[in-house]
Amino acid sequence: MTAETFYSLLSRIGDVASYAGLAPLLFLLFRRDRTSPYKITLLVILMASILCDALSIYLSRMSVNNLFMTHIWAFIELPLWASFFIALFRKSALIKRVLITATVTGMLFTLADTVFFESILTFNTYGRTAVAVIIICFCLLYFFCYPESDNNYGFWIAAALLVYNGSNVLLFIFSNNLLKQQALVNHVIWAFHSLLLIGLYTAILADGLSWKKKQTSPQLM
Amino acid sequence: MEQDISINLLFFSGTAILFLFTIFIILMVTKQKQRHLRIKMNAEQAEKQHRENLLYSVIQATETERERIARDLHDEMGSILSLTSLKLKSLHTTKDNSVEEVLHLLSEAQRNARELSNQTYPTPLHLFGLEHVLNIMIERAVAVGAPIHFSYETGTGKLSKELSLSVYRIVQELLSNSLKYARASSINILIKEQNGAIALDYTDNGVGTDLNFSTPGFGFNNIRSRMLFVHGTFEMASSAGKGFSFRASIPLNPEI
Repeated sequence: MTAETFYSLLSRIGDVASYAGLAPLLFLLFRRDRTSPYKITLLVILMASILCDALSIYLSRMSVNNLFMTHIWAFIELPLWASFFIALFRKSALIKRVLITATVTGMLFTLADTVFFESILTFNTYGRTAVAVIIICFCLLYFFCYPESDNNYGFWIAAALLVYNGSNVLLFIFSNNLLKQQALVNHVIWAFHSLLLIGLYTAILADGLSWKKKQTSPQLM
Repeated sequence: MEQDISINLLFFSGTAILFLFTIFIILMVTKQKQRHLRIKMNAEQAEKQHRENLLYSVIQATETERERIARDLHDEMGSILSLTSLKLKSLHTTKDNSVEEVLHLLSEAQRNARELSNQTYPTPLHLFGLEHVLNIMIERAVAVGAPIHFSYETGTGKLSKELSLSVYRIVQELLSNSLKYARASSINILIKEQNGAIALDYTDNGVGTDLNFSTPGFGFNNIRSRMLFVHGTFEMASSAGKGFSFRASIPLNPEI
């Protein structure tokens, strides 16, 4: 295998990851059941993610620096995933308060990072890392309550989210530094990131497939 | 260049460790969930066993008490009434209307005591078996005007006391419902031995009721308790104006 073929294969993984969210999105859209906050949140997450990816690809094709999209995504990702966990923990007022507080703090931090610390034309390493750490905490909180719960709603999503954010923390921290490394290193790292993203979308699809027809409003607590 | 390689190595190994660590967390959580489910299942099983034991004791105690009352009614009260009747007959020489009336009342009391004794507990069950006591019950029902077709096709082996008594009580309950509330003009009862179980098939052509909208009463709960007691399964079907049917299967040798 030549180096070019290998590069092309790695970038294909990135392309697949950009549109892999369409599968769970279409599945959830055409699923015949009543809408619930949980389902709506997942739909919004998928739509926002696909839109951001599509816009990033478009800007990249137009040879425009698209790194400001990472700032935008970091700012909207946290409230979206927080809504997902709030939908699962909607009966526990204390957990809801914790989730909202962490989300507001994280959002303020990413905003401060964009405005004061890191240029909008570079990766937002601080903000993105903070968001990843907060989401990891949400996942751990979910797993802390999960063994006592009566159902499996959100398990695959939380698991994939934990693996995605946990494994990518170093990538988020060093993303600006990695740009200075060899192209091969960058390709491999971002291909790994894309694979984990595909895994996350697959988990959303798997979670949707596991919903029981009668249960329209899943919850953990 | 060398520094780059070591940074890359550090980065890749750090990412790999984090990846494996997250997988480890998920595996641990899954294991914990399985453990929790196992504990919950065991607790539910123990709770179910406890409820069954409690039900068993209650039914056993009720039947023992009923048997005692029936025996007392039949033996004690019956013999006292018979003796009083005989004494009165030997005493009255003249044609005294009041003594005649007392004798009549006594004979009525004797009949009622016998009836009550039979209703409380089917004493002949131990001696003559389920078919015999069911026949007596059905004869009484037929006497009040309900045409009943009864078929009993079990093997020659004797049924256990618990099983016989439960089938008797269930049929008693169903029959009482059909006559009192359903105003049935035809009732079919079929009891047969099938694949190591007693199959009870009961149908009537009464007014019926929509089972989805009716609240289970004392009779239904009684049937359910009896079925639970003998580890049987049952299904009921009924709709307004279309009669009622009850099918049950009770294992002859339940594995408890």
